[in-house]
Amino acid sequence: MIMMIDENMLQYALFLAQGLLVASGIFSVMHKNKKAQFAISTILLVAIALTASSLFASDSSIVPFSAFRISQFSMFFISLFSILLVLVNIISYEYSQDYISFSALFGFTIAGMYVVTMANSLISVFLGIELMALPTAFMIMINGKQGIESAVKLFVMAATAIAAFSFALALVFPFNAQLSLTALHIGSGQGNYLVLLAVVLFVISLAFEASLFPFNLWVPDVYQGAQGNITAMMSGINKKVAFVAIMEVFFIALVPLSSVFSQLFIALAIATMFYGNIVALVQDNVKRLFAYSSISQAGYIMIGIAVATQYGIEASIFQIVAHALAIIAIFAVILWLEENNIKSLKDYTALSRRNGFAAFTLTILMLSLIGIPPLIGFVGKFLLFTSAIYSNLLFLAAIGIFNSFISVYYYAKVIMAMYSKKEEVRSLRMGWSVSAVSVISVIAVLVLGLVPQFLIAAASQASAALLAI
Amino acid sequence: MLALFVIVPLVAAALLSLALGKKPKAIRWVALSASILSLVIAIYVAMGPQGVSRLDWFSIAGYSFGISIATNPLNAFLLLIVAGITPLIFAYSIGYLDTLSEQSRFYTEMCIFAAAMMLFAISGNFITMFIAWEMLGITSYLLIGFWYWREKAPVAARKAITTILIGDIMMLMGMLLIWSTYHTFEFAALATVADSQALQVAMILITLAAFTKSAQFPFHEWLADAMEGPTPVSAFLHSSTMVKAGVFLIAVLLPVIVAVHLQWLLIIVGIVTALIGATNAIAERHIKRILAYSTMEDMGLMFVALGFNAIYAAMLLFLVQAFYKALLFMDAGSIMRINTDKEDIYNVYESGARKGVLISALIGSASLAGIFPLSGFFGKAAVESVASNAVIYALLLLVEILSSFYIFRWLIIPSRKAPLEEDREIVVNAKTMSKWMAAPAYILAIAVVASSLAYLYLPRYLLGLTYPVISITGSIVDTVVVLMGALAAYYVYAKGNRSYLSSTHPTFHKIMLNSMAVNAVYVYITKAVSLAASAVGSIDYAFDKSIYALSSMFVKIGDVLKKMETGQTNTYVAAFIIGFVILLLAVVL
Amino acid sequence: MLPFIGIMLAVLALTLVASAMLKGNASRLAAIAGSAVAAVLAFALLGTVLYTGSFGTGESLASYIPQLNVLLDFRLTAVSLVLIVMASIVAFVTLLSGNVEMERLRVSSSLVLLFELAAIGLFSSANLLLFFIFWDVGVVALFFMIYMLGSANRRHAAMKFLIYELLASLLLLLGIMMVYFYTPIHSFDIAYITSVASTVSKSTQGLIFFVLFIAFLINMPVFPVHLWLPDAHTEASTQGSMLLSGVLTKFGGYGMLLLFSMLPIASAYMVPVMILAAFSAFYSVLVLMVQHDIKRIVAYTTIVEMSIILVGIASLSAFGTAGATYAMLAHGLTVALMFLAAGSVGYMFADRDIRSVSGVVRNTISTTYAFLLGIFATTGVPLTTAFIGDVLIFIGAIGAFGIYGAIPLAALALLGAFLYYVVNRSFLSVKRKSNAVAYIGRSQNAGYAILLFFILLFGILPFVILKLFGI
Repeated sequence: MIMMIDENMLQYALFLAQGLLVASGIFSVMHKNKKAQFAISTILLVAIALTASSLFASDSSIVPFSAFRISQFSMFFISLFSILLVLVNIISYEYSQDYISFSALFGFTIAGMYVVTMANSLISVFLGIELMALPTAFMIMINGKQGIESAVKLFVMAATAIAAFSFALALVFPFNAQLSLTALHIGSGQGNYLVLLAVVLFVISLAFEASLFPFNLWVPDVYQGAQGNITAMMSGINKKVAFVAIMEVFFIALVPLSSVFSQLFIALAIATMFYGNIVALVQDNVKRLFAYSSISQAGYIMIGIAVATQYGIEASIFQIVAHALAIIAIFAVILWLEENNIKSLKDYTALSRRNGFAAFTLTILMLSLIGIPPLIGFVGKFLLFTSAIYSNLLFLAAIGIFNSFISVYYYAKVIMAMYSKKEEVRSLRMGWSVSAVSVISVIAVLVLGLVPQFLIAAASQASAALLAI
Repeated sequence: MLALFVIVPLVAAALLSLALGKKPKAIRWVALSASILSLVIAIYVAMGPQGVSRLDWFSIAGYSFGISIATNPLNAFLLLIVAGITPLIFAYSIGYLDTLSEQSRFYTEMCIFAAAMMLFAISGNFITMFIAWEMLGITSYLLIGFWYWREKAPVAARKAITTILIGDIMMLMGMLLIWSTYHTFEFAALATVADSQALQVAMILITLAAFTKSAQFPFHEWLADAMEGPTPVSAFLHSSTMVKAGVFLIAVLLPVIVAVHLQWLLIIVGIVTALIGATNAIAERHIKRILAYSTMEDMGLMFVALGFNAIYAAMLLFLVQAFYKALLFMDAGSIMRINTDKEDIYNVYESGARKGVLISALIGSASLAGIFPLSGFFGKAAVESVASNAVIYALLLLVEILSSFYIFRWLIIPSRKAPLEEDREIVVNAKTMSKWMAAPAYILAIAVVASSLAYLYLPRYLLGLTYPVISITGSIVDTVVVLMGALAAYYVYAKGNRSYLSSTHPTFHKIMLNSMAVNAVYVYITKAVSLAASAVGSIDYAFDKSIYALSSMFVKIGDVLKKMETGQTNTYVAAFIIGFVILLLAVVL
Repeated sequence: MLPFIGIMLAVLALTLVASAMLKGNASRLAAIAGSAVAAVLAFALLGTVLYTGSFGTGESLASYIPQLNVLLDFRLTAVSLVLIVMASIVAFVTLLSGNVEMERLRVSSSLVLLFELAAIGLFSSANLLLFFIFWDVGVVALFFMIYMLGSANRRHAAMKFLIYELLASLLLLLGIMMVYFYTPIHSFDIAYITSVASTVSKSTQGLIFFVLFIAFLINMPVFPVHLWLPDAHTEASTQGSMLLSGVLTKFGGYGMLLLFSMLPIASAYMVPVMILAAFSAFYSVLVLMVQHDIKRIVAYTTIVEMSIILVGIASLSAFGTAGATYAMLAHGLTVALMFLAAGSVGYMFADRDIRSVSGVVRNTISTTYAFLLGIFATTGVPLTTAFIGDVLIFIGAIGAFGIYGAIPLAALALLGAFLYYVVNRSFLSVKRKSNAVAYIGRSQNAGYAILLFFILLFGILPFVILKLFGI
């Protein structure tokens, strides 16, 4: 009884807080008080995270307004994204050139993310992605001239992807005249070319958002052109939202077709890993290098989704957390370094002498990305590869491992540059927000790597909740 | 097991000598008294009970490996020889080695060397023997290269250790093969085991290993070069330690060798080596190298005797050779000392030396040549008497005549009168020469004469046999041959001109100096190995490079893929559409 | 037995923190003290095991990933105990005397401690995932040692090291994941896997064997995956080299022993592995002969020795296993001694080329004789530890492969011959004037003494260690 009351109260609290967050963004344009807006948005994000985690803990499964769904799956991601958004908010507060405008757009983006995460219908997914993508393009634009080019690229590509998505929607709608994720009965698609076309369209439109090869060529340009905090958000959150969308669309709506899309996802995962890792080998600009790195990480995440078992999804969820935690802090540090005009690998020479903590942070986070134990990245990859082996996809695990091996080279290049010796170095002071984010992220990467069992349990519950729908 | 105490004083002295680095004068007395103590213990051991006692060292998988100490007559025999000669060598070293800074290193190494040989003498199984065997090897390496600042010493030391190392590995292989077949390392147990292929291979390896230690063909080259070491080392190494180890091991294992029919190997290698030694000694001019070649010859004769299954003959020569060779080396050292360390027999003079040195050298030479009734005669005649093969017997006689010739050449050439200037120097040197260098030689000279009695006693002591009768004819033939050699030397070098063999008879000289040919083979082998090494080295390098090229392939692919990043949105849209088409085709087909 | 391992790891972890906080020599001294305590504990552990006659039961400290049945559990076997003792001695001497230049003390001491922690953890871990984790930590620690403390060309060498080693570690990961998946109750527990491995199909076992074999082969290293080692040694600091050859290569050796004891299929591959190992021994000894850098030469001796150790492992017998373990103990101590000497030469003459360094003995007797005794120990002279190892390995090899099993011994003769050449060319000869630019201190001499003491101790008293194999 008390549980029920709690749940209801909590879900209203959740929606209320989310609404307030969007509203506060809009209002900030009027009062233009940076500090107040920062405080309000941070508090609201924390509140959302707490609410969502309580809902997660209470194992609720409610379908409010029939467009949304509160389940352990969605609540897990709501809390995760909220926490990550706090990190992005912190660095944006210090570095965003126009924090007020940023906040307004930020509110909409967040709204989009929440909508996708809690979506219960294809329309919600569609709208959420739009709501997330468009403000992001505008946020990039705030960054000046280079930003405009990136924003336009993102915009055009997003439009293409959206066109594909809506076409897919149009194709599946006639089957049941329903767009609810759970009510889409399109059969196994055997021999039905329209269904297969729809599946492919869903795949490519979401592959665009999740930056899978070959729908990801825009990623490095946009990531490089955008300001670091936005890059951090795109790579750490937007992309993860796309994975959430993929899970929702394919594991709720299109489950009967799993034999079809699973093959496609395997191909995409392999292509993406190789593409990201191999092209990263020849990058000079560190930000671009990490853009490719995050492409390759998307490939790893896809392994678990391609495996299409509960264990695989659990692994993917874990890896999403692992990558997001690392990459946001990495782009934060890169943002701070770019402000100090340190951009190429060459500029990174002897960074350890200039700011030991920055070098240490990047090193730990990169080791996590490589998958060195006992950091969180290791656990993530470990779960992913074992999930592949469990489904008798040994070759997929082997390819993943081989790709981790390739990636060693470029990560080590950065590490070596940072720890090389150089005469006459000028020390650098790290911005408070970057320090804060770095500390949080390093601690999280270490602690969750050493004691991963609670996160694994959570990911397991989330994946179970997803498949139970 | 009590016998093991024989090495304790020497090991203690070695350690003490290391510790006493700052009091060099005390070291020599420590070493000398330790060696005398060892001798006392050795005598006690020799008089004690016979038999083999065993001490477990380690055990694994149900098998135990142990140290085995044998005090059989044969062991006691060698132990007494070593323990007896060691104090003399140490005493000689007191006079010989006057540089204080080297005392500590010298006596440490010498004490371990002596201790190793004593352990070797009483070892009753392969493990114990191998410990001593390797210790002998490394200490001889250190001692030969003792004067590392000289040009040739390091090279000589390396040659020695390389040969010895090959022997060590063969020995290890052989003993492990034996263990794997029979699960025993005991010498005593081997006599009764069944023949097998593994045993044959093992015995060949062990025999070859013995050849490396005893400087037999084709492993003999290191011995002459080893003369780069200090003279006490040479005297020790050639008389009772090191080179004797190989012969002794074969003597101990003789029943097994007979069982696997390897006598032919001993006879052939022995006689070839004896001939090589004897001929090279004729052509050689280095005062110590002549004696070194002579040692090779003696060792060869011992192997021949062993090949004819005549332990007593081999051991008789073994005993007498120890005395006369130690004596001759000590005298050679003394002669070199009074000639200010000159080494060429054409450049040294005996004129001013002590009479005692000259007389003892004469006794030693005569014994080596095999003149009745000195001990050498019995040794060599015993070997000849067991040679049942006519060809071998003839060759032995040839060796005899040659050895008589070269040893008298060795004695006669330096005996000519020295030029006035050098004579004065020699006299001064002779006066300052330490008594410690002369005295041990006198003792040995007495031993050389007295050990003639060994002929009567030794075989009975060793094997419980009556002594072998050296036939009267054999003795006469032997004596005639020896005298012919001696006379030839007298006529060529005392009466005739003393000019160099290389200028008067160049072809003969070349044939005599045949070890150069063996040396050339060594050089070829070394070259072949280094050629192989450089070939494999370049393969390794190329291998490295090709792996590097292979790995940089990824970077090249990256460069190609990078070209897709045109920065143009239309390219990206195109890629998007291509991707779509491919996926669609994949699904539909 | 667990308290010892737990306390050792705790002591090392605490010292690591202290050492990372302190500065300069204080950091080094703290590290020395910590590793000394660890070494004493290792010997106490050895004593306890010998006294009680049992390794105790393995216990788990905590649960790492309970969902996957992964525990932080430790156990002791004869092999692991021997290697723990070896690693703790080598690490202690590395800290005491390895930093000949006395530069960057904080970084070097911390990294050595981190590596020691990883090594002891690895040798005592009872499950494969833990093994893998410690493996990677060790590799990363050494990567930083090579890269941060190495010489001029370290960049290339460090990258090569990292790439080869991480290839090994990722193959290891793949292999252990396969093992995990194919065991009836999914488990990483070594003892459990060993007990059920025979139920896994032959082809699967073969695949797992192949993957893990390559991983360990890279680490050991044995031809054809040995190329990282010489480069890494040339550029690594003395400390890096001591740990690299002394301890890191034993990760692979230990893993190989585990692999051969774990999978029954291994018996099918004995002969090919033996042929590979024998070939590797001869190949690397020939390559060694064209090297000029003393450190490179010693590096290739590592490959020769590890190949011979592989011969022992491949013989799959009690002798081979005990011999390989003993040889690893011997090699760890010996090669640390040789690298310490080589590093001292490099420091004193600012040059390590045997063609130009001459007459080391004139400037330092201790280094010369340390190197020489190191050679004796390498070639397996009796009364040094290596002799026992060689004897046991080849008894095992002859038992398994017949007379041919003894052939790799010949590589030792070639090795010794060339090493004596090095000694007579550079150390014990005076051809040219040789002037040291600097001199080593007391701590190096102490390091030589300690290592030599243990080399002789385990050589003279082998029953102490070999008794463990009977428990």
